Amino acid sequence: MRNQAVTRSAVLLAATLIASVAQAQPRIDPGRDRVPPTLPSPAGELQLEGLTLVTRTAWNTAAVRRVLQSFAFGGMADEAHILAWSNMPPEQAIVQMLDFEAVNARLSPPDGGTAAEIGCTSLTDLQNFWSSDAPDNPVRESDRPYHVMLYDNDSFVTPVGLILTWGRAMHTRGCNPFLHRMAFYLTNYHASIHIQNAGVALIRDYYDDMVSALVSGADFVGLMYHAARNGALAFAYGHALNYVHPQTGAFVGNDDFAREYFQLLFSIQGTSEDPDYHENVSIENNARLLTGMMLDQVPDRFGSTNPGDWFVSGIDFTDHQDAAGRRIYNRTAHYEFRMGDESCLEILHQRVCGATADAKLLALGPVAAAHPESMANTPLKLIRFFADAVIDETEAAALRTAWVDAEWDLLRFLRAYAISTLFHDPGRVQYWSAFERNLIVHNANTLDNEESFARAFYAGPTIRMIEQGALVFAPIRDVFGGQTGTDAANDRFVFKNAWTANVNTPGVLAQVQEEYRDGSGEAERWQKRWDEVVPPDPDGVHRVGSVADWLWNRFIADGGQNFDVVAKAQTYSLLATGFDFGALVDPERLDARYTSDDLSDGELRATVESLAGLSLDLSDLRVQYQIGMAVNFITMLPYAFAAEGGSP
Amino acid sequence: MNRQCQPASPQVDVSRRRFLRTALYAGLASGMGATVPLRAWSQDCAIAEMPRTLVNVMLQGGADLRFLFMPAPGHPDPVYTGLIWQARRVLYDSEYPDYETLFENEYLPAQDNRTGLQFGIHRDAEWLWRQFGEGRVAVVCNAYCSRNRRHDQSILNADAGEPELEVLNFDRNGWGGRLVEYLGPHVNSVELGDSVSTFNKGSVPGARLDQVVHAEDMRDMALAAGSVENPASARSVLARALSSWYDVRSQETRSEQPADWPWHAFYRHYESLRDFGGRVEERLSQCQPLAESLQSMQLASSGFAQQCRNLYDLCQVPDVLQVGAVSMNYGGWDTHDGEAGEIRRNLSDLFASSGGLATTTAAIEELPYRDVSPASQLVFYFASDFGRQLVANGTAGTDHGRGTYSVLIGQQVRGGVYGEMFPQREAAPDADGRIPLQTPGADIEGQTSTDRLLATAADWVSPGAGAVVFPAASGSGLEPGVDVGTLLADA
Repeated sequence: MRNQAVTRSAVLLAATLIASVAQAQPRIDPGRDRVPPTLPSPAGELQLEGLTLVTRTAWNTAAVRRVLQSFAFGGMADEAHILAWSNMPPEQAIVQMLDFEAVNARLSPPDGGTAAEIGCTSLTDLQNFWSSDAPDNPVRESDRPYHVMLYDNDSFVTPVGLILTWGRAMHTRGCNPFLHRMAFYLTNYHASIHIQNAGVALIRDYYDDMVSALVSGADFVGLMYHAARNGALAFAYGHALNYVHPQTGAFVGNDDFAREYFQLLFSIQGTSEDPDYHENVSIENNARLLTGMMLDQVPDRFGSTNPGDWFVSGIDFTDHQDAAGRRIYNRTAHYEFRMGDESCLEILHQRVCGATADAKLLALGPVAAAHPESMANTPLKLIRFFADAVIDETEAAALRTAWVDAEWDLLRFLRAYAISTLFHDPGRVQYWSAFERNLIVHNANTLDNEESFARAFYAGPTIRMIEQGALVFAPIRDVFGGQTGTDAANDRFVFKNAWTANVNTPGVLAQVQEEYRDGSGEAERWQKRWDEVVPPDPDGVHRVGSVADWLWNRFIADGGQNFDVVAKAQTYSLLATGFDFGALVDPERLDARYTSDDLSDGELRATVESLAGLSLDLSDLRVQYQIGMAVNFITMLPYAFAAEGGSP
Repeated sequence: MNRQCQPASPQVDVSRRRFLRTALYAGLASGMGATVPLRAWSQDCAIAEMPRTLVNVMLQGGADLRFLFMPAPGHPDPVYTGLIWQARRVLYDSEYPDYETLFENEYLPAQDNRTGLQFGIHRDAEWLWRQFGEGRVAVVCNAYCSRNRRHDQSILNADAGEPELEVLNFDRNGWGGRLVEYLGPHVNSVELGDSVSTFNKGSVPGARLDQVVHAEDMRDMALAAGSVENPASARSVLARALSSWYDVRSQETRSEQPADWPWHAFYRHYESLRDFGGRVEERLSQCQPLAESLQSMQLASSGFAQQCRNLYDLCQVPDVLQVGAVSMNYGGWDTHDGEAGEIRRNLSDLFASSGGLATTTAAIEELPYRDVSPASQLVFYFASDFGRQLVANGTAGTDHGRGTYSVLIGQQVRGGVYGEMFPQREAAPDADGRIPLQTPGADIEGQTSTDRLLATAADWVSPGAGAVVFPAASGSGLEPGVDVGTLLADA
């Protein structure tokens, strides 16, 4: 746990101070957008012990949307795919919905290839491309400078570009939002570090390293190994400087990560055995394991003159000279290096051997993952983040059983859970963090990549997330992770700031057109096209009631069960007129309140019903704006702050 | 001294917009059976009586308070000073030739009047040193708020006021929440930081925030409202649509839905911001502006500076907030490496003569009051996850320990040192023949449970509260010869 100096205001300030123009950057080679084939149902693989497959009747479009919201920030799948998935057996659909491929073309269609061409598996690549003046860079011209790593007149790198790049990647079609949600979890919650302690370059490397490990199919043990050996963690925790004196054998260093390796990466508190053993043997020996982990530097990295920006996350565990001419003694600074492969430490009651820290971490990972506390706690930690704030003992037992059966295969575990009765249980409650809520809303509201790239960064989700206490790579609990859904639900100012955002700047969600210059320098105009997305009634007409129901399900995903008559009255009125229901009914009594009973009888009921039956010309920009007003209303209701597991 | 607010200046006169909003709040409040005399706010800005209030300041990360307090060179046990010099000399920025030089450069000499013990308080905590000299600081030695060395569990232990708690479940009550429940159903725990800590939470699952006011920014607590001048604007339309829906549905769902319905929390947020936010904004605009010293205060932690400003404003509107307990925090105490730089910055922010608490308490002392100065009604209690190890590690820092010092500050605190400040056992061989001050891993031996002293503090707030809020306190750990029952003036 460390200090947090990169504040929201600092980032905002930095963003507003940017004056320089981005330097040209080489673009990335295209071509990793592959569409996974439709596979036969792998029911056997996805049915884990302890979990029961959701019934076909409960597997409907609302269920599909729930999965997408929990696991993929809502995803960017079109209506046809959502319907198709709901008509498939869940065990078949989930394979298409959730994978760790670089591109999942159904979950996040590349949309003409502008964004997906670059692969979206590397924030480094994305940042380089989006800040460049390449002719096919889709980012609006005026936004590109905000994505740079190093401003022209600065001597050290800035976090602004990275923070904006991550936010943009999360709402860019072609990027796999499930892959990135997992990488976000690993780097900002599970094995979390803070940008202040790691630095901009290292934390970006760390994120990219974890994405790469996920794409390559690493299981939980492999992912934790990649995290534990990562230079970003070694730098942030300080064990990069730990060493064992080659002559005296004395350990010089701290035990910070030695402790947190167990507690954070593997959820081992040391409470299931003699605390003294855990404190004085496992932790202290792990501190000795974490020796010989100095980071290399590459001079002038990013063009920065600050040597602190030159570190790279991949540690070379040999004795060597780095590119900056520094002698690095990662072999001889390691514990009992002369013993080579026979250099062993007792940790978690096992002999952990290896010539370097890297070798020992590789050996220790499976031991830690198999520890009873890890087996008991890791699956709960995962599910608390992705889907369920409160897990009772019965659920916990089921999840633990499934975790054993999944054999550390994260993808298999999460897929099986996502189509289980546990996930789709009406009693499951998930509070959204400001990250999740804003990305879900923004992804549902953004209809194509042109909209995403044409609009300025401040019309995206990132600034709103920051205003609501959610700054990526700056977790509020530092190594204990970022804002959780429960944190957000308990924080009155998150609610207040969300209210302020929707009320004071409704254009963020309601804007219908924007002029911009693209990579070719040509002036372009983007225009909202709800008419291409909202399905009409069977007779081809868009009616207020049906559009409202569709919007509700798109943003709230509860099958309409919480769409009460008071909310309907307001939504219908906003859709039909652009005004609130009170103003429509009696302009002289703007603050009049109409209860559910009021609206269920007499003239008011008739008014609501007549509003529902009105037809809308969705090609009319005014109507598109009114849809945006309705979206602002719907997404500020409590149901946009928390979700439950089941619905009609 | 009994000072009254000056009449409202033209600049802060009630605007039409504010007048309308006041009328709206009055209407809403009367509709909900509120008893607050709303009319008085715009007529009379006199400060309401500040109740006795505990301010829990959580030092997140595990503060090494042994850095704050060190023995004087003339300590009765020279072996002790010799060993602590060796154990901790590497922590300091400068290389000192001997302990005397270190002490002279780093510490201000202090003396406990009751025992005559001489020790030092770090120079970066000069205000604290002055307060100690004036008898307003109690240092409880060998204290423990948890038995483990894990941040999350220990912070939960501290917030819960249950050092022996072993369950890591944050959906539970805190001692601030229990205290305000004891004080009455309308009394609140006020969180001044940017997120609501477990300290504040109440005992009823699903309604743990019912007696919590989140005051992250006291000058910006109201919900964005529509424009009176432009009722047709998008902002006005959305504000009305949302307010109308929340006003109606918050009432309806109370009876429609069970107490543990997950969405109740958001209705409560709305109601609190609507009711408290509007009233606080109104009252503060009528009385004292934010003190100049607080406006210009520059701290390394902008977050703590804001909390200090919030505390000042809280003291102007205790009746609106119905304050019973207060929560503040300061992070950045996990000093595994480069400890001196980090801890000195933290100590300066908190305790320097120009630091947050010195500036804030001075400003509060200038506030008008009727009978009792609000400054005299505050007692600050400093909690932390745990203490740190006695011996410096290899990166000029200290690793996690357990025992620590507990510090209370306030005009009604009986100042002094409670317990053995520098235990002789730390310089003597233990049962295994190891001398703690020479042994990596050794820490301050916790003897006095923090719930003991917190029970005393709760009794100071309201007699009888201690045994209810801290039911295990009477049987919990207490250093032999120490009486924490005398920590406060008339507890």
